[in-house]
Amino acid sequence: MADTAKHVAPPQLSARDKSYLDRYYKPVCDQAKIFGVDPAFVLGLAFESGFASEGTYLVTGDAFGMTGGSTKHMTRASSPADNVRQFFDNWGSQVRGSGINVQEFVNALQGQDLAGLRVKGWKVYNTENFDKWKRGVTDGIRLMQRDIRIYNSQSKNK
Amino acid sequence: MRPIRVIACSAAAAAISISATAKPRIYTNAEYGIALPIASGELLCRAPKNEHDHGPALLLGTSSTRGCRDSGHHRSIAIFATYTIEAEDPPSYLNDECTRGAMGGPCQPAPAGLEIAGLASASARVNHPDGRIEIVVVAQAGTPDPAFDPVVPPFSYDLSLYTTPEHLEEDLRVFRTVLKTIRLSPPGK
Repeated sequence: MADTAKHVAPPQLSARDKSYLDRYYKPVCDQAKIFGVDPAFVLGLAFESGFASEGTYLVTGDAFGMTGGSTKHMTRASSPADNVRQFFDNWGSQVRGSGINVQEFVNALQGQDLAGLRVKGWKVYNTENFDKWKRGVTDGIRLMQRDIRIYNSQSKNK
Repeated sequence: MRPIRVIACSAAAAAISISATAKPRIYTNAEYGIALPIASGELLCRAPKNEHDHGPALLLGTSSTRGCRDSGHHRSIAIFATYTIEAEDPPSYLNDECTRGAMGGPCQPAPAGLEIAGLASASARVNHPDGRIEIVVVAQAGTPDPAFDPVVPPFSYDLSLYTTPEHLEEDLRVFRTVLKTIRLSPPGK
């Protein structure tokens, strides 16, 4: 019985997620520290692009879905670092200081304060299908919180 | 208190208008491979042009587009497409969402026969505390990508009916028609 635990395979990253973190983890961490926000929150937003693997990302280099549904309104990035800079340039002032509070982070992207009240002058990341978008973001964040732990432990073991 | 800074693009964002019309016959989305015929009496809400289009919403029983920004709080059918986030099949995904309270209320079995022919799907019903009823069908499509998961399709779809107890039967008929007529054919890589 005691040996059973030894045979449980450790959690693994998908090739998709490892590739994403190899490119985006460091640039996001560097900026997230400046803005006082959990890096996993920003990384989780890339659910928009299949974590930098799908769709318009392949054309634009924008992992965060800042735009991209229309070919006329794409955000184009020359590198992951450039893409991360664009995100914080556009949204950093709204998410600044949200720390480890997912609700505060998601609300800020929706132009709301922690209580869900609209903040005058703030932009809205996604106005359509808000409840579903919010679920997509929080699922993405949950995945990245798990992935980052694995990623860091694998990096230490190298 | 966090500083609130008005950013330069705010005026443009405030001017966002959601286009809606009573007459389009078909909604298409090339990125997620959605083709949805629009019947008369359904009001199509499209995503604003500067937002990532994850799919449309159809308002039911109204000729006003005011509910487009908040379709989940009006009688509507909302379609939301994403790239699959975790390597789970639809029943496991929906069970996880229900278990962790992400659906906004406890999940119950959905009415029978709600599925998209030919796709792996799962369904549930949520009675929201404010009296709204949500019936959700989740499905996956596309050719699995070995870089993510060799079995799970890379595209996920949520199709939700939002209605009230008094309109449930009427709106459910429309929802069943949408499930029958929608085409989800995401592009291959």
